[in-house]
Amino acid sequence: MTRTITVDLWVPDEGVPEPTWLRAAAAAKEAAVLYLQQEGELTIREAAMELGLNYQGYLDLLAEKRLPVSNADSDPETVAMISEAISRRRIEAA
Amino acid sequence: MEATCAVLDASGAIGLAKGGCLLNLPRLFPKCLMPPLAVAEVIDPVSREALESALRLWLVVESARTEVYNSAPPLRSVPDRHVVALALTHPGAVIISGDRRLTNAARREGIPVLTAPDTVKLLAEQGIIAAAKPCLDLMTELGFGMRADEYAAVLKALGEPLD
Repeated sequence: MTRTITVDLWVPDEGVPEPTWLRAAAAAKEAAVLYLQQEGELTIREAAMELGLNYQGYLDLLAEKRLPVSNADSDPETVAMISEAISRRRIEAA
Repeated sequence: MEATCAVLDASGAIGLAKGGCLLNLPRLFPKCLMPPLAVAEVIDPVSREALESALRLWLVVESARTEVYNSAPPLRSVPDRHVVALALTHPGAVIISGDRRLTNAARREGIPVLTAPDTVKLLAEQGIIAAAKPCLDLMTELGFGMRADEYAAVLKALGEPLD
């Protein structure tokens, strides 16, 4: 499903040159994609696809913007359970 | 929770490689798998070198079975869906990824998830690495950022100083 985001902006009466408009539109799209990816509404790959980047290209963009790659919500109980399972297995193997 | 198998997403592999920890992963999990499409996405030199070593030694490249892939959550990206489907193929599998939407989709399927910083925490807890902070700092330095609250939580849990 594709949704369109419309952004209303004030511009000076003398207008804005077309190339500047295009760059503004690209910047707005990039900002929207980054926001949605960081909010967990797009995966890294989905975000990369939207911006015409490959996986590494999107990670480079995150680094450039100083945004986290590791952005998943940790579940401390799960981490603790995994930790216990690993400890148990290591003791059994010893 | 058996945690007998780790399924690496590209972000998990890259994070652990940049932190200098990828090659320790078999000390946590007896079996480590990665879908071929995710393997192909790891192209930065530091991560690729570590991944190539892992592939030579212990990391198994495996695709999810077609029927499992078809029943996996309908994520738009094929590699995303393969990561989840591969974990569904192996009961007890844990996905290692920092991708919020991907990991949320996995959790809804009952698949546990670890981020790369959480994995570093486990390595430190188990005494496999001396401390987590140098690894987390190296990750960040090499462009694999993490949320400040995640960074602080790992160090706090291990009793390591923040600065």
